[in-house]
Amino acid sequence: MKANSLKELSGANGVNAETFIKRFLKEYKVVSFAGIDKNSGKTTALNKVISVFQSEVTFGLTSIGIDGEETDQVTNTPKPRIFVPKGTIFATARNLLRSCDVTKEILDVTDINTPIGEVIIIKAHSAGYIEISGPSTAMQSRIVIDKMKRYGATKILVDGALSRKSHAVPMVSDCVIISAGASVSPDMTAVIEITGNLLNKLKLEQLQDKIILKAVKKTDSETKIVVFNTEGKKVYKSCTNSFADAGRSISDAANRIFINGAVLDSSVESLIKNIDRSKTDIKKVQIIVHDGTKLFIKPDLMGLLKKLGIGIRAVNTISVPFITANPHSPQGHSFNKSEFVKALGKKTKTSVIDVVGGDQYEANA
Amino acid sequence: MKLMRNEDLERIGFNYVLSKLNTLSPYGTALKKKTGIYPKSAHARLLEELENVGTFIDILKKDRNFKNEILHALHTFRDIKNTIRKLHTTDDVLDEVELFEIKSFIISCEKLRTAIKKHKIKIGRMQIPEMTAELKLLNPDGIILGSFKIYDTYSEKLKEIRHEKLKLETELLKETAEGKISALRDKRFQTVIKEQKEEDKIKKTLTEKLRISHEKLKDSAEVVGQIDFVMAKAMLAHENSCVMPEITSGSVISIFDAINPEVRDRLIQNKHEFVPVSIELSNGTNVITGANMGGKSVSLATITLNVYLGLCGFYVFAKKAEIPHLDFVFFLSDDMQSVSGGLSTFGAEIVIVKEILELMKDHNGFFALDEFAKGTNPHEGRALVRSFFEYLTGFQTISLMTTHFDGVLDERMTHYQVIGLSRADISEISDQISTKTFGAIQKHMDYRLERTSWKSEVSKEAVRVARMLGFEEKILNRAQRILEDKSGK
Repeated sequence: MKANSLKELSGANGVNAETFIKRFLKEYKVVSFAGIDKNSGKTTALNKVISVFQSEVTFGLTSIGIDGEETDQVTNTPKPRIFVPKGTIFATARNLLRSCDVTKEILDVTDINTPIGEVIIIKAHSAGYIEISGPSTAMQSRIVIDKMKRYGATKILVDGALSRKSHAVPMVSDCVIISAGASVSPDMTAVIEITGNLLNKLKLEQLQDKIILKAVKKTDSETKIVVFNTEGKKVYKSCTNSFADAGRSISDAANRIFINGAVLDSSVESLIKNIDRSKTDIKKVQIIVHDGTKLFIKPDLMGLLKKLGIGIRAVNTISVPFITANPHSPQGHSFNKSEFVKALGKKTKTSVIDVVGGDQYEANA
Repeated sequence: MKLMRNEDLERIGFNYVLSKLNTLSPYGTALKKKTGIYPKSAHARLLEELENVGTFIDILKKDRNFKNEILHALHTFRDIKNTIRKLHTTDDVLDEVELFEIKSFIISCEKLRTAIKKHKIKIGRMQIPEMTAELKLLNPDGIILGSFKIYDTYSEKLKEIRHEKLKLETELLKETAEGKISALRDKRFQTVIKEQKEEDKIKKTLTEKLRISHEKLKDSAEVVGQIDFVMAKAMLAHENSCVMPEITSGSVISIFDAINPEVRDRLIQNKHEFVPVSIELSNGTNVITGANMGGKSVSLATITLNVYLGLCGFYVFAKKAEIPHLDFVFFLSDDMQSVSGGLSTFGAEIVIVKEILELMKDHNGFFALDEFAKGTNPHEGRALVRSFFEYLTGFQTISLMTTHFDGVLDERMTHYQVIGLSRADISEISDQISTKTFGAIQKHMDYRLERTSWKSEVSKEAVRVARMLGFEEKILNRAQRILEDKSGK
C-alpha cells in the first residue's frame, strides 16, 4: 500500500495507475496490445493490466501476428515474460508448453497450426510465467477467442502487432493499447512523431456511407483496387497495382476508391496524379482502406491529401483507450518521464500512462 | 486389379457421389479415400459391408435420434494415428498434449460405443473394444472430464510440491520488499523444477501403461473409421432411396431404373428430370445405338457408376440391381483430350483398349467404351468396330459399347436402342422448331433404352436433331436429298 500511495503522489492527476487503467479498460472485453517498436514496453503494459484486473476477471490470453521469442533477437535483451494469475485460460503453440511454468490443464487442441505446433488451449492451475504464440490470422484468432470465452474467460488480452501483414488486431479486438518507448530513437521528438502518425492512422474516420460499405465488403480478396460510383457500382476494378488507370476513371460521378490491402506512397501518388481535375471536384474524392494499419504513406503525403481535401475512410476502426509510455530504452538512454508522457499526450490527443513510473496524461481532462 | 483412372471416375460421376458422402472422423475419411472394388477373395466382406449399410439404414428409418447420436460422437474424433504409432514403435514418453488426445479419443470411442449399444446394432466385427481401464488411467478423479492434466492423484509427492508452489505464490503476492521477493522467486523456481521432474516421471508411467494398450487403440481407430464410413453410406443411400444390389455369382448385370446423381442434380437445376436407365447385360458384347443427343453416353456412365458402386460396397442409385462379383470395372469415354499425351485421340484410345483386352484374358469384368474408333474415317472405322465387337463376344467380360456405325452387329450380341425421337409427334416437333433450343429436343427425346434385334438399323436422326437446333436449311435439304437418292449423286 505504501508503494501505491507514493505512486499516487507522483501521478500528474493524482490517481494511481490501477485506478487509471481500470477506468479506461473496464468496458472492453477483448483488449489488444501493440508496440510502436520492439522493446517499447508492450509486455510490461500487458502485465500491468493483468495485475490490475486479476481479482475480478478470468483472463483469456493469446497473441496474434507475433512470435514468442524469449530474447529480442535484434537487441539481445531479455523480453519480460507474461505473469498470469491462477485460473487464467491461455492459447499458445504446442512447442511453447514447456516454457510455461504454470500447472497446466489441457482444455483443447485446436486444428490451427503454427510453425511451432498446433495452438493448444490451457487453463493455469497455478500462477506463473507463460509464453504465448497464437494464431496468425484474424479468422483463427476469432476461433481461439471464442473458445477461451466458452471455457470461462471474461476478459481477453491479445498480445498483438500492427505490422503490414497483420491487420488482424482491429478485426478481433474491441480496443488496442499502444506502447511507445524510448527504444525507437534517442530523440524524444522522433518517438512522439512516430506515435502521433500511428495514432492518426488508427483514428481514421469510419466509412459511414452504407451503400459503399456494402459494396466494399463484397470485394473479393484478389481485387487490389476498385472505383465505385455513388450507387456502389464498380466503374473500375483491377487485380494489379494499376493506380494510374484507376485515377483516370475517377469523376464526380465515381469518386470512391477502395484500396484492398497495403496503401503505399507510390500508389497514392500515381492515383491522384491521374485524376482529371476538369471533371472531378478533388475535394469530394474519398480513399477507402480496410483500417488505419494498412496505410504506409509518409506524413508529408498525408499532409498533401489533407490539403487537397481528399478524405481517407476506414472500413474498420478501433479505439485506443490510452497509450503506455516507456521512457527507458534497453540501449541505455532515457527521456525525462513526465515530459515524455505529457508531450505524447498533447501530440496524440490521447491519454497516456507510464505504467512503471506512474506519470499520467489525461486527454480532455 | 486394374484401377479406374481418376478422370474416368470423375466422368461416370463417382467422384460426385464421394463428395456427397459425409464422413466425419479422420478415420472414416481415410477409408473413403481408399474406396475401391472388393476383390473376389473378399466376397464375404463385400456382402457384410452391404448388410451393415442395410442395418444402419433400417435404424435411420426407425429412430431419428440415432443419426444425431452417432454423428455427434463421430465428429469429436481427431487423428491420433501418429500418437498410436509412437506408442508402438518408439520408447518416447508422451507429453500432456498427446495424453490429452488419447483421453479424448477414448471418451469419443465410449460415446460411440454407447450409442451403438443403445440401438442394439449387431455389426459383425465392428466392435469397439472396451477401454474402461485406460480411461480410468487418464481420468483418475471420477467425473469424466474432457480436459487432461497431470492430476495430483497420480502422486502424493506431486501434490505436496504443488501445494508448496501455491503457498509461495501467495506469499509473493503479499511481499513488497525487493530482496524478499527475489528470494521467494528463486524458491518458487526451484519448486517449478521439482514439479516438472515429478510430472515427467508420471508421464513416463502413464505412457508405459498405455503402451500395453496400443493394439486396442489401433483397433478402435479402425472400427471407428468403418462405422463412420458405413454410416455415411447409409445416410447417402437413405436420402437417395438407393437399394442394396444383389451381388450374384452369375454373369448377368441387370439394372432397373438406375440414375446418375450428378446428372440428375444438374438437370434439376435447369428444371429437368433424369430419365432412369434400365438394362440387362450378358457376358460378351452389348451395344447401345441411337440418336445424337439421345443420352447414350449418360446411360453408359450411369450403368458403369452403379456397377462400380455396388462392387465397392455401396447401395446403388436404382430401383433394383443384380451385379455379378466382377474382377474389374473399366470405363473409357470418347473424350480423350486429357490422356492423349502426344498421341492422337485414336492412338490414345488404342493404347488403353489394348491393356484392357490383355486384362480380359484372365479376368472377368465390366468394360464400358463410348464410341470406339469414332475419330477415324467411317470406312475403316466400321470395319474395326465390327471386328472389335466380334472379338469381345468371346470373353466372359461384360462389354458395353456405344456406336454410330451401321451393320456392325451380329446375332451373338445384345442390342439396345435409345427410343429417341422415333415416337415423337412430328407435327408437335415442327411447332417447336421456331424455338430452336436444346429444350425442344429434351422435351421430345425419349432417353429410354429398348432392347431390339441385332438386325435393327442404327437410327438416323442427325438431320432431324440439326433441324431442331436451327441449322442452315439449305445444307439440311441437300443432305436429305443425298440420303434419299441411294446412289448419292
